[in-house]
Amino acid sequence: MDQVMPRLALEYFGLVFIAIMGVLQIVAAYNDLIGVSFFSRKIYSYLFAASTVGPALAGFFTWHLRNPFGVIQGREQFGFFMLALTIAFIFTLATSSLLKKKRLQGNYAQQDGLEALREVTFFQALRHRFGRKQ
Amino acid sequence: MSADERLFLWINGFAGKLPLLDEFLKGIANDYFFIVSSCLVLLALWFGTREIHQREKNQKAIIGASLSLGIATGIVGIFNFFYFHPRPFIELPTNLLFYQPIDSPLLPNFPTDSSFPSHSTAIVFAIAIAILLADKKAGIILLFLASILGFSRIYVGIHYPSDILAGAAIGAATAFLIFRLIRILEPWPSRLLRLIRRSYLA
Repeated sequence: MDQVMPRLALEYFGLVFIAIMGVLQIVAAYNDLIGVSFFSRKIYSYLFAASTVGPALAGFFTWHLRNPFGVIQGREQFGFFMLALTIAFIFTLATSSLLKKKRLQGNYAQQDGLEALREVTFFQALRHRFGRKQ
Repeated sequence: MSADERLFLWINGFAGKLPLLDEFLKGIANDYFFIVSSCLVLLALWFGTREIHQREKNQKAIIGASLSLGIATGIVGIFNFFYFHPRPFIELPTNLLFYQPIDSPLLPNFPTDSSFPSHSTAIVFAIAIAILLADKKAGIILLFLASILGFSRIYVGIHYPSDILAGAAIGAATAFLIFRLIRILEPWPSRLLRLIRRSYLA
């Protein structure tokens, strides 16, 4: 039983992480947030999302078939969810900033908020705001 | 036998007769699938709403939903502290689809907390009602799915109907109160969102 909990927690964390990455790619494609997307074409974002969110949700749906023993308590679920959310978020912003750095170089965010990420990456937007002005 | 117990036995009496429906409702009823799905919907609404005015409305609702689910959890905890009601599979002859048989040597693998009120139902109703107040379409879908979750937890044998109703009422009432509170606290929620917008995350 002692071995079950860490494995379940890791599985829960992994599935949430994958699902959040997929959802962020769906919304990036749908909302034209080029600066957050990993891909240059929307269709690739949707395919990526389908191949991550789908299996992750299927994993949760079939949880008790695969894990007949042990449970993750509510407080632990909350903790692992927030951890996965934070890491998936940082990973997505860092990866998309790296992948889109050259393509969006020279752009300047005209607006505040998410609208800025239609023109620049997250880190470019932050640099324009807080860093050296170009 | 109370009406609650009779209704439980009637609904739970269908369990085990249709294997496909059993598997579907077992997937819905587990502690992870629907709660994580609801949170993913919140994430999608936060970033995915195109129109700025509607997005701001949704984002306030999401802040409200997050607060509501935390407060609803606290209220359920207080109920559990003062009142314990055993799960139906402890008290009644139940078609238990979900956990190991209660005489299994591999215990514990079933919940030992109070059946009343349903915590997961309180959470999903808090989220659904909070979103319904800002975005009807998304809210109605979430509310429909929350109702299926509630039903499935009776069907698989882990809650009485009264547990589900109480959980739904706690979640809904909390969401309404938080919605009102956010309105009263204006312009602070808008200022908070503006601050988040300045860091390009809203």
